[in-house]
Amino acid sequence: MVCDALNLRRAVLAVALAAAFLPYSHAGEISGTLSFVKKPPSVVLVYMADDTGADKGKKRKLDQKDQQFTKKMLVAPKGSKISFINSDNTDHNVYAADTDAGADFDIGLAPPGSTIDQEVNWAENAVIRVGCKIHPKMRAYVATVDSRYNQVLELDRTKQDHTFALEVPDTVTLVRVWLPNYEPVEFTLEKGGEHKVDLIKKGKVYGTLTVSRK
Amino acid sequence: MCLKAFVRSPFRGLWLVLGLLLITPLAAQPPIGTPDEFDIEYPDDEEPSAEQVALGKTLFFDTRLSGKQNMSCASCHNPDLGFGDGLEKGVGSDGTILGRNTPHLYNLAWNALFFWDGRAASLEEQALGPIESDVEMNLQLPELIKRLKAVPFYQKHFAEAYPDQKPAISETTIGHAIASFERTLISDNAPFDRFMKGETEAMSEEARRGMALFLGKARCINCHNGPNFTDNGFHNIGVASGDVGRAAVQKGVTTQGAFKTPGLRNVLLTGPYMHDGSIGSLGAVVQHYIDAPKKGGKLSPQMEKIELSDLEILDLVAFMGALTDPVPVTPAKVP
Repeated sequence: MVCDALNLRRAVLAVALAAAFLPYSHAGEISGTLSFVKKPPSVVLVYMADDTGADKGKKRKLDQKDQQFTKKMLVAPKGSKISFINSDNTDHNVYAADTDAGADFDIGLAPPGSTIDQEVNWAENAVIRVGCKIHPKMRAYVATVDSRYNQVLELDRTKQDHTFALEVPDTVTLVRVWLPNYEPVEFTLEKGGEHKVDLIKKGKVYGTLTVSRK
Repeated sequence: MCLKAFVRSPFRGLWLVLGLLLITPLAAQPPIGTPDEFDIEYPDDEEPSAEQVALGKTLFFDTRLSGKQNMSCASCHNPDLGFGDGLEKGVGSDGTILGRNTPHLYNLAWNALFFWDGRAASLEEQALGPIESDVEMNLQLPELIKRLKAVPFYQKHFAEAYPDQKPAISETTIGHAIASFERTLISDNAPFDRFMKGETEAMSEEARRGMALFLGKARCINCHNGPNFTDNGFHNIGVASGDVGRAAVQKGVTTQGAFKTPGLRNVLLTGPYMHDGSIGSLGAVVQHYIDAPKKGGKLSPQMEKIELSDLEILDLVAFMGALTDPVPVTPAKVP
Protein backbone atom coordinates (compact mmCIF):
# COMPACT_ATOMS: atom_id res chain seq x y z
CA MET A 1 0.00 0.00 0.00
CA VAL A 2 2.79 2.38 0.96
CA CYS A 3 4.62 1.30 -2.17
CA ASP A 4 1.57 2.06 -4.43
CA ALA A 5 1.19 5.54 -2.96
CA LEU A 6 4.88 6.21 -3.55
CA ASN A 7 4.62 5.09 -7.16
CA LEU A 8 1.57 7.27 -7.70
CA ARG A 9 3.37 10.31 -6.27
CA ARG A 10 6.36 9.61 -8.50
CA ALA A 11 4.13 9.30 -11.58
CA VAL A 12 2.35 12.57 -10.81
CA LEU A 13 5.70 14.27 -10.28
CA ALA A 14 7.02 12.89 -13.59
CA VAL A 15 3.99 14.16 -15.51
CA ALA A 16 4.20 17.57 -13.80
CA LEU A 17 7.92 17.86 -14.63
CA ALA A 18 7.35 16.82 -18.22
CA ALA A 19 4.60 19.41 -18.60
CA ALA A 20 6.77 22.13 -17.06
CA PHE A 21 9.67 21.51 -19.44
CA LEU A 22 7.72 21.11 -22.66
CA PRO A 23 8.19 24.25 -24.79
CA TYR A 24 4.60 23.98 -26.00
CA SER A 25 1.80 21.54 -25.80
CA HIS A 26 0.20 19.81 -28.79
CA ALA A 27 -3.24 20.21 -27.41
CA GLY A 28 -5.18 19.51 -30.54
CA GLU A 29 -5.30 19.56 -34.28
CA ILE A 30 -6.85 21.35 -37.18
CA SER A 31 -8.14 19.22 -40.00
CA GLY A 32 -9.67 20.20 -43.28
CA THR A 33 -10.96 19.32 -46.70
CA LEU A 34 -10.12 21.04 -49.96
CA SER A 35 -12.65 20.44 -52.73
CA PHE A 36 -12.02 21.71 -56.23
CA VAL A 37 -14.50 22.01 -59.08
CA LYS A 38 -11.75 21.36 -61.65
CA LYS A 39 -8.16 20.17 -61.70
CA PRO A 40 -6.59 21.10 -58.36
CA PRO A 41 -3.32 23.02 -58.05
CA SER A 42 -0.15 21.00 -57.65
CA VAL A 43 0.56 22.16 -54.10
CA VAL A 44 -1.10 23.78 -51.08
CA LEU A 45 0.52 25.26 -47.98
CA VAL A 46 -1.35 25.34 -44.66
CA TYR A 47 0.24 27.01 -41.64
CA MET A 48 -0.45 28.71 -38.34
CA ALA A 49 0.73 32.25 -39.03
CA ASP A 50 0.96 33.41 -35.40
CA ASP A 51 3.84 31.12 -34.51
CA THR A 52 7.42 32.30 -35.07
CA GLY A 53 9.44 29.45 -33.62
CA ALA A 54 11.00 27.93 -36.75
CA ASP A 55 14.67 27.00 -36.38
CA LYS A 56 16.64 29.49 -38.51
CA GLY A 57 19.90 27.62 -37.94
CA LYS A 58 18.65 24.47 -39.59
CA LYS A 59 19.67 24.17 -43.24
CA ARG A 60 16.84 23.19 -45.61
CA LYS A 61 17.47 21.13 -48.72
CA LEU A 62 15.91 21.22 -52.17
CA ASP A 63 17.10 18.53 -54.54
CA GLN A 64 16.82 18.11 -58.33
CA LYS A 65 16.37 14.71 -59.92
CA ASP A 66 14.94 13.44 -63.21
CA GLN A 67 14.70 17.05 -64.40
CA GLN A 68 12.36 17.95 -61.56
CA PHE A 69 12.64 19.45 -58.12
CA THR A 70 12.09 16.63 -55.65
CA LYS A 71 9.64 18.78 -53.65
CA LYS A 72 7.00 21.09 -55.03
CA MET A 73 7.46 23.44 -52.08
CA LEU A 74 10.06 24.08 -49.41
CA VAL A 75 9.27 25.95 -46.20
CA ALA A 76 12.21 27.98 -44.87
CA PRO A 77 12.20 30.97 -42.49
CA LYS A 78 13.90 34.22 -43.41
CA GLY A 79 17.53 34.14 -42.28
CA SER A 80 17.95 30.41 -42.84
CA LYS A 81 19.91 28.78 -45.66
CA ILE A 82 18.77 26.49 -48.45
CA SER A 83 21.07 23.93 -50.01
CA PHE A 84 20.22 23.42 -53.65
CA ILE A 85 21.42 19.94 -54.54
CA ASN A 86 21.76 18.53 -58.05
CA SER A 87 21.33 14.75 -57.87
CA ASP A 88 20.66 14.57 -61.61
CA ASN A 89 23.11 13.53 -64.28
CA THR A 90 22.54 16.78 -66.14
CA ASP A 91 23.45 20.39 -65.39
CA HIS A 92 20.90 22.54 -63.66
CA ASN A 93 20.51 26.02 -62.26
CA VAL A 94 18.26 27.58 -59.65
CA TYR A 95 17.09 31.15 -59.78
CA ALA A 96 14.32 33.40 -58.50
CA ALA A 97 13.19 36.75 -59.85
CA ASP A 98 10.35 37.91 -57.62
CA THR A 99 10.59 41.67 -57.32
CA ASP A 100 7.58 41.95 -54.98
CA ALA A 101 9.23 39.67 -52.43
CA GLY A 102 12.74 41.02 -53.10
CA ALA A 103 13.94 37.55 -54.09
CA ASP A 104 16.52 37.89 -56.84
CA PHE A 105 19.20 35.23 -56.99
CA ASP A 106 20.86 32.91 -59.49
CA ILE A 107 23.15 30.15 -58.27
CA GLY A 108 24.72 29.84 -61.74
CA LEU A 109 25.56 26.53 -63.38
CA ALA A 110 25.00 23.66 -60.96
CA PRO A 111 26.78 20.57 -62.29
CA PRO A 112 25.67 17.03 -61.38
CA GLY A 113 26.53 16.21 -57.77
CA SER A 114 26.86 19.83 -56.68
CA THR A 115 25.37 21.53 -53.60
CA ILE A 116 25.06 25.31 -53.60
CA ASP A 117 23.79 27.27 -50.60
CA GLN A 118 21.54 30.30 -50.80
CA GLU A 119 20.52 32.50 -47.87
CA VAL A 120 16.82 33.21 -47.52
CA ASN A 121 17.19 36.98 -47.49
CA TRP A 122 13.92 38.14 -48.97
CA ALA A 123 10.52 39.08 -47.51
CA GLU A 124 8.89 37.08 -44.74
CA ASN A 125 5.56 35.37 -45.33
CA ALA A 126 6.18 35.31 -49.07
CA VAL A 127 5.88 32.40 -51.45
CA ILE A 128 8.28 32.71 -54.35
CA ARG A 129 8.78 30.51 -57.37
CA VAL A 130 12.20 29.11 -58.14
CA GLY A 131 13.12 27.64 -61.48
CA CYS A 132 15.95 26.34 -63.64
CA LYS A 133 17.10 28.56 -66.50
CA ILE A 134 18.12 25.52 -68.51
CA HIS A 135 14.87 23.60 -67.97
CA PRO A 136 12.00 26.08 -67.61
CA LYS A 137 9.42 23.38 -66.87
CA MET A 138 11.20 22.75 -63.57
CA ARG A 139 9.38 24.79 -60.96
CA ALA A 140 9.11 24.75 -57.19
CA TYR A 141 8.03 27.20 -54.50
CA VAL A 142 9.87 28.46 -51.45
CA ALA A 143 7.70 29.78 -48.61
CA THR A 144 9.39 32.09 -46.10
CA VAL A 145 7.36 31.01 -43.13
CA ASP A 146 8.52 31.28 -39.51
CA SER A 147 5.88 28.94 -38.18
CA ARG A 148 6.66 25.46 -36.88
CA TYR A 149 3.09 24.42 -37.55
CA ASN A 150 2.93 24.06 -41.30
CA GLN A 151 2.05 21.42 -43.81
CA VAL A 152 2.78 21.23 -47.54
CA LEU A 153 0.23 19.19 -49.45
CA GLU A 154 1.37 17.86 -52.82
CA LEU A 155 -1.93 17.12 -54.48
CA ASP A 156 -2.80 14.24 -56.78
CA ARG A 157 -4.20 16.32 -59.64
CA THR A 158 -6.49 13.54 -60.83
CA LYS A 159 -8.55 13.92 -57.62
CA GLN A 160 -10.75 16.85 -56.69
CA ASP A 161 -11.08 16.29 -52.93
CA HIS A 162 -8.14 16.37 -50.53
CA THR A 163 -7.85 16.26 -46.75
CA PHE A 164 -5.20 17.29 -44.25
CA ALA A 165 -4.61 17.29 -40.49
CA LEU A 166 -2.09 19.37 -38.58
CA GLU A 167 -1.24 19.15 -34.87
CA VAL A 168 -1.31 22.59 -33.27
CA PRO A 169 -1.00 23.94 -29.71
CA ASP A 170 -3.78 26.01 -28.13
CA THR A 171 -1.61 29.13 -28.25
CA VAL A 172 -1.95 29.66 -32.02
CA THR A 173 -5.17 30.48 -33.83
CA LEU A 174 -4.36 32.22 -37.13
CA VAL A 175 -4.71 29.84 -40.09
CA ARG A 176 -3.24 30.76 -43.47
CA VAL A 177 -3.67 28.72 -46.63
CA TRP A 178 -1.74 29.42 -49.82
CA LEU A 179 -2.45 27.94 -53.26
CA PRO A 180 -0.60 28.98 -56.46
CA ASN A 181 -2.50 31.66 -58.42
CA TYR A 182 -5.37 31.63 -55.89
CA GLU A 183 -6.27 34.42 -53.50
CA PRO A 184 -4.60 33.66 -50.15
CA VAL A 185 -6.90 32.56 -47.33
CA GLU A 186 -6.54 33.69 -43.71
CA PHE A 187 -8.85 33.25 -40.73
CA THR A 188 -8.84 32.75 -36.98
CA LEU A 189 -9.95 29.40 -35.68
CA GLU A 190 -10.47 28.66 -31.98
CA LYS A 191 -10.73 25.22 -30.45
CA GLY A 192 -14.06 23.59 -31.31
CA GLY A 193 -14.59 25.97 -34.23
CA GLU A 194 -15.19 25.38 -37.92
CA HIS A 195 -14.59 27.62 -40.91
CA LYS A 196 -15.66 27.32 -44.53
CA VAL A 197 -14.29 29.54 -47.27
CA ASP A 198 -14.38 29.72 -51.08
CA LEU A 199 -11.13 29.20 -52.98
CA ILE A 200 -10.95 32.00 -55.53
CA LYS A 201 -8.77 32.44 -58.59
CA LYS A 202 -9.09 35.53 -60.79
CA GLY A 203 -12.40 36.38 -59.18
CA LYS A 204 -13.97 32.98 -59.81
CA VAL A 205 -14.72 30.28 -57.27
CA TYR A 206 -12.76 27.12 -58.06
CA GLY A 207 -13.28 25.26 -54.80
CA THR A 208 -14.01 25.35 -51.10
CA LEU A 209 -11.94 24.85 -47.98
CA THR A 210 -13.50 23.56 -44.78
CA VAL A 211 -11.40 23.51 -41.62
CA SER A 212 -12.34 22.40 -38.12
CA ARG A 213 -10.39 22.41 -34.88
CA LYS A 214 -10.54 20.06 -31.96
CA MET B 1 17.96 -17.15 -75.30
CA CYS B 2 21.56 -17.90 -76.33
CA LEU B 3 23.54 -15.22 -78.18
CA LYS B 4 23.30 -17.01 -81.55
CA ALA B 5 19.53 -17.30 -81.30
CA PHE B 6 19.29 -13.65 -80.21
CA VAL B 7 21.33 -12.45 -83.19
CA ARG B 8 19.15 -14.49 -85.58
CA SER B 9 15.88 -13.43 -83.92
CA PRO B 10 13.67 -11.23 -86.11
CA PHE B 11 12.76 -9.39 -82.90
CA ARG B 12 16.32 -8.56 -81.87
CA GLY B 13 15.77 -4.84 -82.60
CA LEU B 14 12.67 -4.87 -80.40
CA TRP B 15 14.51 -6.60 -77.56
CA LEU B 16 17.31 -4.05 -77.80
CA VAL B 17 14.86 -1.16 -77.67
CA LEU B 18 12.85 -2.64 -74.81
CA GLY B 19 16.08 -3.28 -72.94
CA LEU B 20 17.12 0.32 -73.45
CA LEU B 21 13.72 1.56 -72.32
CA LEU B 22 14.19 -0.39 -69.10
CA ILE B 23 17.57 1.24 -68.63
CA THR B 24 16.31 4.73 -69.53
CA PRO B 25 14.81 5.57 -66.11
CA LEU B 26 18.26 5.10 -64.61
CA ALA B 27 19.55 7.69 -67.02
CA ALA B 28 17.34 10.28 -65.29
CA GLN B 29 15.70 11.85 -68.31
CA PRO B 30 11.92 12.09 -68.52
CA PRO B 31 10.97 9.00 -70.54
CA ILE B 32 9.83 9.23 -74.14
CA GLY B 33 6.27 8.08 -74.80
CA THR B 34 2.89 9.30 -75.93
CA PRO B 35 1.80 12.67 -74.50
CA ASP B 36 -1.12 12.65 -72.07
CA GLU B 37 -3.78 15.33 -72.59
CA PHE B 38 -4.36 15.39 -68.82
CA ASP B 39 -0.93 17.01 -68.48
CA ILE B 40 -1.86 20.05 -70.59
CA GLU B 41 -1.79 23.19 -68.47
CA TYR B 42 -4.67 25.31 -69.77
CA PRO B 43 -4.83 28.93 -68.62
CA ASP B 44 -6.73 28.91 -65.31
CA ASP B 45 -7.20 25.14 -65.81
CA GLU B 46 -10.07 25.92 -68.18
CA GLU B 47 -10.22 23.81 -71.32
CA PRO B 48 -11.34 26.04 -74.19
CA SER B 49 -14.80 25.64 -75.65
CA ALA B 50 -15.41 24.40 -79.20
CA GLU B 51 -16.57 27.93 -80.10
CA GLN B 52 -13.31 29.44 -78.88
CA VAL B 53 -11.23 26.91 -80.85
CA ALA B 54 -13.28 27.46 -84.03
CA LEU B 55 -12.94 31.23 -83.67
CA GLY B 56 -9.19 30.86 -83.15
CA LYS B 57 -8.93 28.78 -86.30
CA THR B 58 -10.69 31.46 -88.36
CA LEU B 59 -8.38 34.14 -86.94
CA PHE B 60 -5.36 31.93 -87.69
CA PHE B 61 -6.21 31.99 -91.39
CA ASP B 62 -7.39 35.61 -91.62
CA THR B 63 -5.10 38.10 -93.36
CA ARG B 64 -6.85 40.94 -91.52
CA LEU B 65 -4.28 40.19 -88.81
CA SER B 66 -1.50 41.87 -90.82
CA GLY B 67 -1.11 45.57 -91.54
CA LYS B 68 -1.26 45.18 -95.32
CA GLN B 69 -3.83 42.37 -95.07
CA ASN B 70 -1.50 40.15 -97.06
CA MET B 71 -0.46 37.69 -94.36
CA SER B 72 -2.11 35.44 -91.79
CA CYS B 73 -0.60 33.22 -89.08
CA ALA B 74 -0.90 30.37 -91.59
CA SER B 75 1.30 32.20 -94.11
CA CYS B 76 4.36 31.24 -92.06
CA HIS B 77 2.85 28.39 -90.02
CA ASN B 78 1.51 26.61 -93.07
CA PRO B 79 -0.33 23.37 -92.14
CA ASP B 80 0.86 21.80 -95.40
CA LEU B 81 4.50 22.58 -94.61
CA GLY B 82 4.64 21.13 -91.11
CA PHE B 83 3.23 24.37 -89.68
CA GLY B 84 6.39 26.08 -90.91
CA ASP B 85 7.22 27.79 -94.20
CA GLY B 86 9.95 25.55 -95.58
CA LEU B 87 12.32 28.52 -95.63
CA GLU B 88 15.63 29.06 -93.89
CA LYS B 89 14.28 32.13 -92.13
CA GLY B 90 10.82 33.60 -91.86
CA VAL B 91 9.68 36.41 -94.16
CA GLY B 92 7.66 39.39 -92.96
CA SER B 93 4.61 40.92 -94.62
CA ASP B 94 6.76 43.48 -96.44
CA GLY B 95 9.30 40.90 -97.57
CA THR B 96 11.80 41.44 -94.76
CA ILE B 97 13.82 38.31 -94.04
CA LEU B 98 13.58 37.68 -90.30
CA GLY B 99 16.36 36.64 -87.96
CA ARG B 100 15.28 33.10 -87.22
CA ASN B 101 13.62 30.01 -88.65
CA THR B 102 9.83 29.70 -88.31
CA PRO B 103 9.13 27.19 -85.51
CA HIS B 104 6.55 24.44 -86.00
CA LEU B 105 3.37 24.34 -83.91
CA TYR B 106 2.98 20.62 -83.10
CA ASN B 107 2.10 19.74 -79.49
CA LEU B 108 2.69 23.25 -78.16
CA ALA B 109 -0.10 22.51 -75.66
CA TRP B 110 2.56 20.89 -73.46
CA ASN B 111 5.19 23.55 -74.00
CA ALA B 112 6.47 25.93 -71.32
CA LEU B 113 7.99 28.98 -73.03
CA PHE B 114 7.60 30.18 -76.61
CA PHE B 115 9.75 31.60 -79.44
CA TRP B 116 13.28 30.29 -80.02
CA ASP B 117 14.49 32.40 -77.09
CA GLY B 118 11.52 31.68 -74.82
CA ARG B 119 10.54 35.33 -74.49
CA ALA B 120 6.80 34.56 -74.33
CA ALA B 121 5.57 32.88 -71.16
CA SER B 122 2.32 31.66 -72.68
CA LEU B 123 0.92 30.65 -76.03
CA GLU B 124 -1.57 33.52 -75.70
CA GLU B 125 1.29 36.00 -75.41
CA GLN B 126 3.16 34.36 -78.27
CA ALA B 127 0.13 34.48 -80.57
CA LEU B 128 -0.02 38.27 -80.36
CA GLY B 129 3.72 38.90 -80.75
CA PRO B 130 4.12 38.44 -84.53
CA ILE B 131 0.94 40.47 -85.21
CA GLU B 132 2.45 43.54 -83.56
CA SER B 133 6.03 43.01 -84.74
CA ASP B 134 6.85 45.68 -87.31
CA VAL B 135 8.96 43.26 -89.35
CA GLU B 136 6.39 40.47 -89.27
CA MET B 137 2.66 41.22 -89.58
CA ASN B 138 3.03 44.85 -88.54
CA LEU B 139 -0.42 45.60 -87.15
CA GLN B 140 -1.05 47.26 -83.80
CA LEU B 141 -3.67 45.46 -81.74
CA PRO B 142 -6.07 48.45 -81.33
CA GLU B 143 -6.26 48.61 -85.14
CA LEU B 144 -6.87 44.86 -85.34
CA ILE B 145 -9.67 45.11 -82.77
CA LYS B 146 -11.22 47.92 -84.82
CA ARG B 147 -11.04 45.76 -87.95
CA LEU B 148 -12.60 42.73 -86.28
CA LYS B 149 -15.38 44.79 -84.70
CA ALA B 150 -16.37 45.92 -88.18
CA VAL B 151 -17.06 42.32 -89.28
CA PRO B 152 -20.51 40.96 -88.28
CA PHE B 153 -19.13 37.39 -88.22
CA TYR B 154 -16.58 38.30 -85.57
CA GLN B 155 -19.06 40.38 -83.57
CA LYS B 156 -21.36 37.36 -83.37
CA HIS B 157 -18.76 34.66 -82.77
CA PHE B 158 -16.66 36.56 -80.20
CA ALA B 159 -19.86 37.32 -78.26
CA GLU B 160 -20.84 33.65 -78.36
CA ALA B 161 -17.38 32.33 -77.50
CA TYR B 162 -16.70 34.85 -74.71
CA PRO B 163 -20.09 35.70 -73.17
CA ASP B 164 -18.47 36.74 -69.85
CA GLN B 165 -15.92 39.08 -71.44
CA LYS B 166 -16.79 42.74 -71.91
CA PRO B 167 -15.82 43.77 -74.50
CA ALA B 168 -15.86 40.39 -76.20
CA ILE B 169 -13.30 41.45 -78.82
CA SER B 170 -10.09 42.35 -77.01
CA GLU B 171 -6.37 41.59 -76.99
CA THR B 172 -7.09 38.94 -74.34
CA THR B 173 -9.79 37.12 -76.28
CA ILE B 174 -7.92 37.32 -79.61
CA GLY B 175 -4.81 35.81 -78.01
CA HIS B 176 -6.86 33.21 -76.15
CA ALA B 177 -8.77 32.11 -79.25
CA ILE B 178 -5.66 31.71 -81.43
CA ALA B 179 -3.79 29.87 -78.66
CA SER B 180 -6.82 27.64 -78.05
CA PHE B 181 -6.80 26.58 -81.69
CA GLU B 182 -3.04 26.03 -81.62
CA ARG B 183 -3.37 23.76 -78.57
CA THR B 184 -5.53 21.42 -80.66
CA LEU B 185 -2.65 20.72 -83.07
CA ILE B 186 -1.82 17.44 -81.40
CA SER B 187 0.24 14.70 -82.95
CA ASP B 188 0.17 11.54 -80.86
CA ASN B 189 -0.39 8.57 -83.15
CA ALA B 190 2.89 8.21 -85.00
CA PRO B 191 4.37 4.77 -85.76
CA PHE B 192 6.46 5.33 -82.62
CA ASP B 193 3.29 5.68 -80.49
CA ARG B 194 1.82 2.52 -81.99
CA PHE B 195 5.10 0.70 -81.42
CA MET B 196 5.05 1.79 -77.77
CA LYS B 197 1.54 0.40 -77.46
CA GLY B 198 2.86 -2.99 -78.50
CA GLU B 199 2.40 -2.87 -82.28
CA THR B 200 5.89 -4.16 -82.89
CA GLU B 201 5.76 -3.91 -86.67
CA ALA B 202 4.70 -0.25 -86.59
CA MET B 203 8.36 0.77 -86.77
CA SER B 204 10.83 -0.59 -89.28
CA GLU B 205 13.94 -2.47 -88.22
CA GLU B 206 15.98 0.64 -89.10
CA ALA B 207 13.75 2.87 -86.96
CA ARG B 208 14.02 0.43 -84.05
CA ARG B 209 17.80 0.47 -84.31
CA GLY B 210 17.61 4.26 -84.55
CA MET B 211 15.53 4.42 -81.38
CA ALA B 212 18.16 2.40 -79.52
CA LEU B 213 20.81 4.86 -80.75
CA PHE B 214 18.59 7.83 -79.86
CA LEU B 215 18.29 6.59 -76.28
CA GLY B 216 21.88 5.40 -76.03
CA LYS B 217 25.03 6.00 -78.02
CA ALA B 218 23.85 9.12 -79.88
CA ARG B 219 22.71 10.82 -76.61
CA CYS B 220 19.81 12.62 -78.35
CA ILE B 221 17.81 11.79 -75.22
CA ASN B 222 19.94 14.26 -73.22
CA CYS B 223 17.70 17.08 -74.47
CA HIS B 224 15.07 15.54 -76.77
CA ASN B 225 13.29 13.69 -73.97
CA GLY B 226 9.78 13.33 -72.61
CA PRO B 227 6.65 12.57 -74.66
CA ASN B 228 7.27 15.44 -77.06
CA PHE B 229 10.98 14.83 -77.41
CA THR B 230 11.96 18.13 -75.82
CA ASP B 231 13.19 19.06 -72.35
CA ASN B 232 11.60 22.48 -72.96
CA GLY B 233 15.06 23.78 -72.17
CA PHE B 234 17.62 26.13 -73.70
CA HIS B 235 21.01 24.93 -74.89
CA ASN B 236 23.94 26.26 -76.86
CA ILE B 237 24.48 23.55 -79.48
CA GLY B 238 27.19 25.34 -81.42
CA VAL B 239 25.26 26.76 -84.37
CA ALA B 240 27.47 29.79 -85.05
CA SER B 241 24.94 32.40 -86.10
CA GLY B 242 26.12 35.30 -83.91
CA ASP B 243 22.70 35.29 -82.25
CA VAL B 244 22.87 35.42 -78.42
CA GLY B 245 19.50 33.62 -78.16
CA ARG B 246 18.13 33.13 -74.66
CA ALA B 247 20.72 35.53 -73.18
CA ALA B 248 18.81 38.48 -74.67
CA VAL B 249 15.84 37.50 -72.50
CA GLN B 250 17.47 36.13 -69.38
CA LYS B 251 21.01 36.72 -68.16
CA GLY B 252 23.06 33.89 -66.75
CA VAL B 253 25.96 31.60 -67.48
CA THR B 254 23.59 29.05 -68.98
CA THR B 255 21.82 31.23 -71.50
CA GLN B 256 24.49 32.59 -73.88
CA GLY B 257 23.87 31.35 -77.43
CA ALA B 258 21.21 28.98 -76.09
CA PHE B 259 17.99 28.26 -77.99
CA LYS B 260 14.91 26.26 -77.15
CA THR B 261 15.01 22.52 -77.74
CA PRO B 262 12.37 21.97 -80.43
CA GLY B 263 10.04 19.03 -80.03
CA LEU B 264 10.70 16.32 -82.61
CA ARG B 265 7.18 15.17 -83.38
CA ASN B 266 6.72 15.46 -87.16
CA VAL B 267 10.31 16.64 -87.43
CA LEU B 268 10.51 15.11 -90.90
CA LEU B 269 7.99 17.72 -92.05
CA THR B 270 9.52 20.77 -90.39
CA GLY B 271 12.82 21.42 -92.15
CA PRO B 272 15.05 23.28 -92.56
CA TYR B 273 16.42 22.90 -89.07
CA MET B 274 18.11 24.82 -86.25
CA HIS B 275 17.14 28.31 -85.01
CA ASP B 276 18.62 29.87 -88.13
CA GLY B 277 17.36 27.24 -90.56
CA SER B 278 20.96 26.62 -91.61
CA ILE B 279 20.74 22.83 -91.91
CA GLY B 280 18.58 21.34 -94.60
CA SER B 281 18.33 17.66 -93.74
CA LEU B 282 18.02 15.48 -90.67
CA GLY B 283 21.13 13.55 -91.66
CA ALA B 284 23.10 16.80 -91.69
CA VAL B 285 21.60 17.70 -88.30
CA VAL B 286 22.93 14.45 -86.82
CA GLN B 287 26.32 15.14 -88.44
CA HIS B 288 26.31 18.55 -86.71
CA TYR B 289 25.96 16.83 -83.33
CA ILE B 290 28.98 14.66 -84.19
CA ASP B 291 31.09 17.61 -85.39
CA ALA B 292 30.19 20.46 -82.99
CA PRO B 293 31.60 18.96 -79.74
CA LYS B 294 34.93 18.34 -81.50
CA LYS B 295 35.21 22.02 -82.35
CA GLY B 296 34.92 23.06 -78.70
CA GLY B 297 33.51 26.42 -77.64
CA LYS B 298 31.00 27.15 -74.94
CA LEU B 299 28.60 24.38 -75.75
CA SER B 300 25.91 23.00 -73.49
CA PRO B 301 27.35 20.19 -71.32
CA GLN B 302 24.58 18.05 -72.83
CA MET B 303 26.52 18.08 -76.11
CA GLU B 304 28.54 14.96 -75.40
CA LYS B 305 31.15 13.79 -77.88
CA ILE B 306 29.64 11.06 -80.03
CA GLU B 307 30.75 8.93 -82.98
CA LEU B 308 28.27 7.41 -85.40
CA SER B 309 28.71 5.50 -88.64
CA ASP B 310 26.88 6.57 -91.78
CA LEU B 311 24.52 3.62 -91.31
CA GLU B 312 23.79 4.67 -87.75
CA ILE B 313 22.99 8.21 -88.93
CA LEU B 314 20.48 6.72 -91.37
CA ASP B 315 18.97 4.62 -88.59
CA LEU B 316 18.52 7.73 -86.43
CA VAL B 317 16.84 9.52 -89.33
CA ALA B 318 14.56 6.49 -89.78
CA PHE B 319 13.58 6.72 -86.11
CA MET B 320 12.84 10.44 -86.42
CA GLY B 321 10.71 9.55 -89.43
CA ALA B 322 8.74 7.22 -87.18
CA LEU B 323 7.65 10.28 -85.18
CA THR B 324 5.51 11.39 -88.13
CA ASP B 325 1.78 11.81 -87.57
CA PRO B 326 0.61 14.80 -89.63
CA VAL B 327 -2.20 16.96 -88.29
CA PRO B 328 -4.40 17.74 -91.30
CA VAL B 329 -6.12 21.09 -91.07
CA THR B 330 -8.58 22.36 -93.63
CA PRO B 331 -8.20 26.13 -93.89
CA ALA B 332 -11.04 28.01 -92.22
CA LYS B 333 -13.48 29.98 -94.35
CA VAL B 334 -12.56 33.56 -93.62
CA PRO B 335 -15.50 36.02 -93.47
